[in-house]
Amino acid sequence: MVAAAKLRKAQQRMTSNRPFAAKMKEVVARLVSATDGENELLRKPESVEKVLVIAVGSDKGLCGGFNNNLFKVVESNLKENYQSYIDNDNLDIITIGKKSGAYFAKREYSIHERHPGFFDSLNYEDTASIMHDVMGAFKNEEYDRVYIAYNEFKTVIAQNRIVEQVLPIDVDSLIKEDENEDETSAITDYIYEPSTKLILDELLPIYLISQLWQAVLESNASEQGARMAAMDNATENAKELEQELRLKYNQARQSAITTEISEIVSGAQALEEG
Amino acid sequence: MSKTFHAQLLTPNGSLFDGEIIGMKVPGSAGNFEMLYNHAPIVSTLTIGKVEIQKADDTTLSYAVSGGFVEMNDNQVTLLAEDAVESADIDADEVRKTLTEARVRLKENPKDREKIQNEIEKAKNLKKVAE
Repeated sequence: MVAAAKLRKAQQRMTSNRPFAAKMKEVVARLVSATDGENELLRKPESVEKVLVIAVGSDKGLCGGFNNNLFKVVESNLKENYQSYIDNDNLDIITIGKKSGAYFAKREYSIHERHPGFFDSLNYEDTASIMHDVMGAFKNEEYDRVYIAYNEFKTVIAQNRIVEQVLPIDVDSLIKEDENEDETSAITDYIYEPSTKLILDELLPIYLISQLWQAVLESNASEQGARMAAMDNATENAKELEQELRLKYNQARQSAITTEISEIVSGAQALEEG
Repeated sequence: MSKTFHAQLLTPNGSLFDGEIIGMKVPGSAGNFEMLYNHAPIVSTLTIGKVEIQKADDTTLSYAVSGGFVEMNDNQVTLLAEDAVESADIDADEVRKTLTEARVRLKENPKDREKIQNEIEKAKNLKKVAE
């Protein structure tokens, strides 16, 4: 019941960010195509030296395979594509949520930053400050590629495990997606104030933050759903177990009574005969 | 009766306003401006300041925003702000407290000057909009 109430709240927060994120994406796409990608955050590294993964898990356990399933996907993905980076200490992880930190620390990944207790007071400002640091590091060429790994909310009982590249921004697919969605906006001649370049400087950080924000909100809602499903399963199992044990108890009780009666009867018989 | 058009005010924490309006005044980076019916398509970034919405029933709503941007196209205006508060929801005592606290911190940590200065600007704006 508690999980159900939390789930509803988490779902509501997740949905309320969607219009913001969608609009952000649309405008950024239009600006990027108008400016020919002139921005530090659109830098396309020639070679990938260092990789950063932001792994979003949960703070609390008891939510089934919610964390482990995601981290296994992340790990196998990293081992497949970035084994040499792991070996040469060129792959860092930022963990969000206590469970995420525990998992990757135990497996001796190089952890750049840990954010345990992130979901206790889930807010936009903290998310923004994490992303600001990441953007700074990307601009200084400390990292050449950044991924976010999180559970996307599919339904209450099902999650999609997502490993998504956020930096460098995939300009081509961004523009393409925008054109598919909205054909009219491409034709419209906008006034840009102060200028497309300055607007982009301001909007790209917000766009990236909103991506991480959406990811943590999705993860948060998924976590509540996963916990509800896990608790439901646990209740079912407990009920089944209870039935089984009750049967055993009754059997044991019955046989104990039978033995006792037969003892008394045979005792009485012995007395009569004697 | 002036013609109305549709406006939306979105933040990462949800939509603050969604409805028909007569006009919207915004603190653009290149200067304040007002959008009315049939304004040309525009995208502009915003600075810290006050957004005023004149609703279809001629009442006015004010919001304190700290950055973001506004887009208008085809009589549909969308304002995206990372942080926006309606004037009625501003807690004047709280703002005063933040302001004094920030000023003290400014003296103590000259290193974070820029960041704290920004906080002070935001708090000042909240105070102004609340009045």
